Amino acid sequence: MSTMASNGHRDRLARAGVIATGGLLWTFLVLIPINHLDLWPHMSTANGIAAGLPLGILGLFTLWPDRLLALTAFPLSHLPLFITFPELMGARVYGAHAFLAVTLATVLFVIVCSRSSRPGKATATPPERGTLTHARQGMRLLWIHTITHTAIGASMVGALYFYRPFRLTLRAAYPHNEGVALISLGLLVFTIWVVLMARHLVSRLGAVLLSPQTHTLEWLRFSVECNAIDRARASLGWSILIAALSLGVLTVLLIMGT
Amino acid sequence: MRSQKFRRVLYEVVGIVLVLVSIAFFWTSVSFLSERDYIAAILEIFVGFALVRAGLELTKIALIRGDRP
Repeated sequence: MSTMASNGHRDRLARAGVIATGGLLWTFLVLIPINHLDLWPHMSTANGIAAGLPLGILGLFTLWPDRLLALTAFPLSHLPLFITFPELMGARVYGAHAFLAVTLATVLFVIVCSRSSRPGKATATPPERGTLTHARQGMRLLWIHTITHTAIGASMVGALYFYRPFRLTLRAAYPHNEGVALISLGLLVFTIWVVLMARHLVSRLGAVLLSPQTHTLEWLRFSVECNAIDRARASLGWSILIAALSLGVLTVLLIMGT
Repeated sequence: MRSQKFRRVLYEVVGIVLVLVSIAFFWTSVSFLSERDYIAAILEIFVGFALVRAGLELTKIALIRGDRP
């Protein structure tokens, strides 16, 4: 029974992954090229709806989590915007680095989609009432953190591509290899984002939320630490010592500076 | 019971705020890179990582405290 329940939890995690990677793919395919070509002033309401259509499909996916929907309707929903603005797929947008980033995001999206299940597939027996409440409360938090983690990835990539002082420095530092430098930094940022998602969001919060065994183990560890008064006092002592030393060093530096 | 619920909500909110604040640190790391201050950029990335971890740990505590007596 616990194996079936954990399968259900894994499906929920895969769904969150589809939303996160889908959001990242939309950022690469729509948001960044529109900003890059400065097309916002030329966009009508209908064009704005066309640009937001893929996000609508992702929203529909949360209600009806079908991998076919994600793998067919989501990519196709980009077409109206690309037909209206063909320059979004043009050479001014897609150099080697942008193409590689989109390819990586697409591969990640397809892999995550393939791990989500079809609707109506009974992957778990109804869990106990307490477990259900716990899962429902926790899923809300997992969604919020998935969105914030997607925002971290998007802002880091956005900073690389659209923060003008950085681009100027990069151009000055690597006059003949700006593209290669940008793609290397893009890969670094992408790796950092994947590490954040995998190491922090999935393995920490996701594991506690989606695995009853891990949840119980973490609770035991937490309650033991709460009851370890001596350890808490020792930590407090060290914290006060470090804070006092830092304050002392800062005061000396300020006095010497003046 | 009420204070326990308040504490749980507080942990959740602070956890999310910490993760949101980390975005500013990741962005600032890029601006330090543009000034060729690589050490500061790496330190900012570490601060971002630490904030994300702290935020998620707080959320985890909110979760594991929430449905236990």
